[in-house]
Amino acid sequence: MKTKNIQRIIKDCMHYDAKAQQFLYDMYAPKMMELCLRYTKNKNDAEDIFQEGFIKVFGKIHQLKNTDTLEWWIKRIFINEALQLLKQRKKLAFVQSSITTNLANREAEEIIGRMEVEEITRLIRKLPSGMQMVFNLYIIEGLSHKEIAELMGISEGTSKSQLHDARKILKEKVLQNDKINI
Amino acid sequence: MEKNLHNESFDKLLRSKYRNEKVQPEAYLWKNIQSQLPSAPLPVKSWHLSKVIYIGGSIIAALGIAAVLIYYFSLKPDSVSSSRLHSDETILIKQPVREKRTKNNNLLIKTTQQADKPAATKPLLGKESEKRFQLQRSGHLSLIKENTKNHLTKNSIQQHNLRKKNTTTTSGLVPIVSHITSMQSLGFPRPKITQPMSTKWHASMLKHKLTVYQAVKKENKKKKRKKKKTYIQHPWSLEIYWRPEYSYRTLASNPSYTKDVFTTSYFDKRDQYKFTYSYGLLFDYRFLPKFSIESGLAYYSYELGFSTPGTDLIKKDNHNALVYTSLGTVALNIENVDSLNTKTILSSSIGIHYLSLPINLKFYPANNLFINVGTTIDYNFSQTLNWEEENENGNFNVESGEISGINRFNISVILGLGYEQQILRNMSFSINPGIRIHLINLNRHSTVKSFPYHAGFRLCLQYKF
Repeated sequence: MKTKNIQRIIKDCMHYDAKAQQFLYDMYAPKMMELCLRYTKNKNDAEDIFQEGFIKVFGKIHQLKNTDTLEWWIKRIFINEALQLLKQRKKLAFVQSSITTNLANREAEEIIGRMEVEEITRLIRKLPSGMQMVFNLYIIEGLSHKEIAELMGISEGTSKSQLHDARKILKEKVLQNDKINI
Repeated sequence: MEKNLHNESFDKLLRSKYRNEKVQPEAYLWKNIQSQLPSAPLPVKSWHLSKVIYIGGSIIAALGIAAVLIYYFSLKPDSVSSSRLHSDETILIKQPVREKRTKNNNLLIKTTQQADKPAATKPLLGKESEKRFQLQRSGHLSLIKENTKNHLTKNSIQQHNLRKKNTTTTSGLVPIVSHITSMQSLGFPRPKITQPMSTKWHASMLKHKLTVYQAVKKENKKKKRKKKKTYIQHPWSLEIYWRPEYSYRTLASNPSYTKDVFTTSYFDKRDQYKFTYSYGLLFDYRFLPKFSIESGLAYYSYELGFSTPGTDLIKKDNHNALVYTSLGTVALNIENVDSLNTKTILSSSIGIHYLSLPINLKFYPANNLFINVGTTIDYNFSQTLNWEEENENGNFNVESGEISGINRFNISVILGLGYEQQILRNMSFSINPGIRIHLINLNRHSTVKSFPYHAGFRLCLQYKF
């Protein structure tokens, strides 16, 4: 979509134009729904975040300064929503894992390569909440440990250790899942 | 090292898997979201065309008025001077004639009533020409009589008898006709002589009159030029001004908005006057002794105070709320919206900043006094909102975005009176109280129509060059 059109849509959204709002929703809803599912433990929570996130997007759209970063700006709102939900429910826990995996690196990649995204998401959702958050932010969104630390209010070390453990647990879960499927 | 590389490829694999991943949400989610979104104002008429008509119309009207004034006042001095130039001659032509007959030779001489009366206005002549004109006015008849007498005594009786016989003929005037015609084409009035006289004398008389007329005309032109120079010695001047002023607005209901809560009286209770300043750098051109036009670049801001109890906010969630001002809707981000109550007063100073292009016409009815009428084309380049909150439990952190829908362009009219005082040879100072009124509604999306006005006085330094 051309930048001019996007700018026009955003401008109309600022004026609470229903058509423009629906257009923006249709553009980003599938991506954001996927994000919400990845950051939560169940579908209900995902839908709560999804709704609250879009209400905030339309409520704060006048604060958007650069239309080129629209997608990231929307994502940040949804991530913040997910984070707030976890904090509110006091479910954001950073646990240490003592799991050791015997899965060879290449083998893990092969299994993941074969897996459907929905299956991987299902496994990611089984990670402890802190790990799930850090894993999503670092691996899928591509944030640095520093940025994650600032966003979540934790230290960079915690972020790193959580990511390390998340990888280990996910690999283990991938292996278990593969065995079940076989 | 190997571990890191593996992690990297593992991460990349996962990232690529999620790159274009989408999950279609349930349809009811959008309905839920829609029901919680801020209500959209009813569609308003396309304002682009009306804006163009407003701006274009105002510019054309301003230029038209200026052109008419310039044309009118530039013509006036000319017409005055031309009437002065021909004052004597015109009177002589227009006044009814009366006939006189000389005692001696029974010559019929036509003259005017005006010829016996003293001059009403002093003709603009040199010494010689003035003398001639005096002669014309006071003694046109006697001059002709005298000359005729002299002429008769000098000429033979035969010539006299011949002339006596030919009183009714015009044969003696034939050679002069072409001369008279050429004089008339120059605007010189037709001579009032019906008496046949010496051709030589008459020709010399008319020639002399023509010379006098040309001299008068030349002299008048010179005077006119001199006058212009003395009137407007410095037509151009550069002005810098500072204008303290109070801003407020008049409100009108917006027919495209139907919510009862946002009536004009709701905002009248909550809006407050604000004090502000404007600045400008202008060029002034004095195109006529009593008129000047000024234009340039100016900055001004429309400031409005606004306060509302916390309970009047339209809460969206725990952090977000909407507040309706007479200028439009503002989205607020507050730490904990639910904790706001009737004792919490949110107040804001809202500033709409404009760069404007003024076109101002000044009329000087007296030496130092002037009346100014003008229009400005205003461009809204920014706005500021400073929120403050009072609460017995402590302060909240309120952040807000800009008011959406504020018109980028506006047009206002300026009216004022002024006093100008010269302080140095090329410098003068003026004080100019006046008002500025916006002609276009500030925000088409607001629940009410708001037309700001400013009242203040302009302090201006003027450098003439």
